[in-house]
Amino acid sequence: MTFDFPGYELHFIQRESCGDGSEHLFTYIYKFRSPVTGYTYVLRAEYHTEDVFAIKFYCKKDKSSEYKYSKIINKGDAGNILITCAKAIPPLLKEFPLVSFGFIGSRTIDRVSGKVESYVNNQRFRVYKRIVAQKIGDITFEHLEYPEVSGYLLINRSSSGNIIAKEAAIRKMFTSSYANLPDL
Amino acid sequence: MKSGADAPLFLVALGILISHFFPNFGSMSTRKKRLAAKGDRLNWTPLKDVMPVKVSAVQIKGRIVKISKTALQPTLIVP
Repeated sequence: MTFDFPGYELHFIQRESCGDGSEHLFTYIYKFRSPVTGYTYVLRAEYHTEDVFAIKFYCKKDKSSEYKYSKIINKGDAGNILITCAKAIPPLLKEFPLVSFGFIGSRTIDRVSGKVESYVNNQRFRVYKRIVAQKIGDITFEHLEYPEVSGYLLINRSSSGNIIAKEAAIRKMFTSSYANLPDL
Repeated sequence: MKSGADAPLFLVALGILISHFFPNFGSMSTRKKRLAAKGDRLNWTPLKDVMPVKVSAVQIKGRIVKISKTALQPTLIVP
């Protein structure tokens, strides 16, 4: 399967500071609209120490939900929505040339049965990693996957002479900041 | 033309005829067969049973993803 979707225009909304003393320093918030689903989506690029952005997105209608990252919209257009999220990388890279990126595939909630999928190699992760491997090359980033937690890292090759050390530092930072990393 | 006394007999005969050709006529309904929910089919965890997962840096092992040049499309977002 190929992902030749054009995606949609991403609108920058604001820079939100995070003053809770954690490794999360600030967030760039974007939004975009899918004319196919008729919904607006919110994309959050959360900047952390170790010069890394965690990319998250959810449907705006679910903004108040505890499970906004886990809900399935099931109205189609996933290809365009995911490509739009990936399109946030170039402008961020322009502003922060040494920055790395990471994401986690959230566990899906099945509303009908009231059940939740495993955090290991989940369905979102399997789709995301495939798109990233097709649309992001390996010249700028080293690609690393973590199926145990459905996570993925794009380590910027310019950020450090030692990619292994940089990856270990980012991994340590994320696991200490998010003690329950694969939680809902 | 049937008389009033023949009418019940006619209805019984009609019933027998219908049940002969359409054996499930009496139990036919418009209700669709409900498919098992995805969470049930894939044996997912009930929401109330989801426990916090503690992950330490030691447990997680990163695996380098080899990007095959043939898989990359000409419309790369980032080279």
